[in-house]
Amino acid sequence: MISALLNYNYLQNAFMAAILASIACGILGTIIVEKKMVMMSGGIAHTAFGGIGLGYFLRVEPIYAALVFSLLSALSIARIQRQAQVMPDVLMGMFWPLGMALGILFIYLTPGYPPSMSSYLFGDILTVSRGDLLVMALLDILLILTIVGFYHLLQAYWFDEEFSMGLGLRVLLAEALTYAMIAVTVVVLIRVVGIILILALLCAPPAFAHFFRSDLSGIMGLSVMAGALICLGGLCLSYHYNIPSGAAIVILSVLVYTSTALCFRPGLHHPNK
Amino acid sequence: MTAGKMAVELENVSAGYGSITAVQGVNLAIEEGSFTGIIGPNGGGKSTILKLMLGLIQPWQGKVRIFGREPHYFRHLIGYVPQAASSNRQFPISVRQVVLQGRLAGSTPFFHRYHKWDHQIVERCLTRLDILDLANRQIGQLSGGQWQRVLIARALVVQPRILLLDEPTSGLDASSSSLVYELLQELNQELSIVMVTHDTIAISSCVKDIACINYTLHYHGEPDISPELVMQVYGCPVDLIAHGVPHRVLGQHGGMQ
Repeated sequence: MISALLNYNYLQNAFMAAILASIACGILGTIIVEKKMVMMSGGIAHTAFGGIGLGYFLRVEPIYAALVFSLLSALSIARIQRQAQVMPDVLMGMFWPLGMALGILFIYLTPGYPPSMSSYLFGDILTVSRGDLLVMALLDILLILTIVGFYHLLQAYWFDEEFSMGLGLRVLLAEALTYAMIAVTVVVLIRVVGIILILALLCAPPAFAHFFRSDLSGIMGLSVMAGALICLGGLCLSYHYNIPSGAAIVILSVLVYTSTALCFRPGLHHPNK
Repeated sequence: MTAGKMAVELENVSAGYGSITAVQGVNLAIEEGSFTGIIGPNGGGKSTILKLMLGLIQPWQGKVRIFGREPHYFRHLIGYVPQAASSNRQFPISVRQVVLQGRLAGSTPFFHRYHKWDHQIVERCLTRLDILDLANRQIGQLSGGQWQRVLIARALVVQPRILLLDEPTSGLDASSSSLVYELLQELNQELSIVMVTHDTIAISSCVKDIACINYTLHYHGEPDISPELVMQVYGCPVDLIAHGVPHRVLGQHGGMQ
C-alpha cells in the first residue's frame, strides 16, 4: 500500500481527501452531536442531492451546484424553523425527501443518458480529483476560520440560545453560521462517503471522542484524529479487498464506536484527569 | 406615586405566542431594590412576563420599560437565570466557560478573546458563590444546587442591577433551596430581584412583595394573600401557609396574623 501510495496519483488524492474530510467531519460532527442536530444534518445532506441534479441539468460542476444548493436550503430551513416554530423532525421529514426528489427531477430533465449517481450517493474516495481536493481544502480553511473567529459567540449559542439572546448577542448570525457550516461540511464529505452515508461519519468520531474528552475543543480535536484514522483505515480496506470505499469507511466507523462503547466502562473514567 | 425609581414597568401589556394570548392588560411597576416574587399557575404567563422584561419577546400591545427605557437598551443591566432544567447538561463545557459567557455582550467581535478583567470578575463571582473549587468541572458532574449557583454566577458577572430568576429552586431539596434564598437575600442588598416561583417558603420568608399572574395581574403588593385571592388566581384553594418557617407566616384564614 505504501509503495502504491507513492506511485499512484489517485491514491495520493484519496489519502488527502481522507485527511481533509476528517477535519470537517470531526469539527462539525462534534457540534451536530452536542447540539442534537443529527437529523437536521441528515436533512441538509440530502438536499445536496437536489444540487447535484441541478448541476447536471445546468451543465456546471455538480459539486459547486451542491454547495450553493445546500447552503441555500440550510439557511431556509433555519429561517422556516425560527419563524414557523415547527418541530425540526417534521421539517426534516419534508426537506430530506424534497432534496432527493428535486435531484431525481433534474436528472430526468437533463437530456441524454442519465449519469451514474452512485459516486455522489455512496461516495468514491478513489476517484477524487485534484479539483475536488482544492474545493475541500478551501472549505476546510473556511470552516476553521469561522469556528476560531466566532468561537465564543458560537459556543454561547450552541450551549444556551435563550441566555445569549438575553445578552443581546447576535444569535441569528450564530445560527446562520452553524447551518451554513453544516451545509459546507456535507459538500466536503460527499466525495468521500456520499450523501446517504454521511451521517455515520458525522456521528461516530465525535461520539467516540466524547468517551475520552469532556471539553468542546478537546472533543473536536480527538474526533478529527479518530475521523482521519477511520477514513484511512476504510481506504486501506477498500483498496486491499476491492470493496466500495464509502461503505468500508462507514462500517469501520460504526465498528470503532460500538466496540469502544462496549469495552468502555464509565466507572473507570475520570473526565477531569 | 412617591415611590423610588422604577426598575421595571409594564404598562397595559399584552403578549403571547402565535395566536395564543399568554398575558393580557398587565400593569406592573417594580421599584428599584425590591424583591418581587411572581406567582401563578402553570401556563399563567409568569415566564412570559420575564421574557418581556428581557426583551426576548415583544409585547403585542402596551409598553415594557427597564429603568424607563426599552428593554434592549439596558440589556447589560439585566442578569437572567433561566430554569435549571432547561439547560443541556450533557454539553461539554466547564463551569468557568459557562460563567465567562456572561461577560459576552452585544456584538462580540471577530476573534473575540476574554480580557483579564473578565476573568477577574468571574473569579470574584465564583468565590462569592462558593463554587471556585468547581471552576474547571464539567457541568454534567455538578449537583442540582451547584448548577443553580453556576447559573446565578453567570447572571451576576453581567454586573446587573436587576436579577431575573425563573424558578431558581425547582428540583432542589430544602437545604439547597434555603442556601439559594439566603444568597438572593444577600444579593438583594445591591440589586433588584424578580423571581418566578412556586415555592411557598420563598414567598413567606424572603420576597418583599408578590405579583400574582394568571393571564392578567391579580395582585401586586405585600406577600400576605387572602384565600379569596388564591381562589381567584389558581382557581382552587392552594396551601400558601408556609410550614416550619421561623420567619414570616402568610395571613391566616380570617385575616389573623
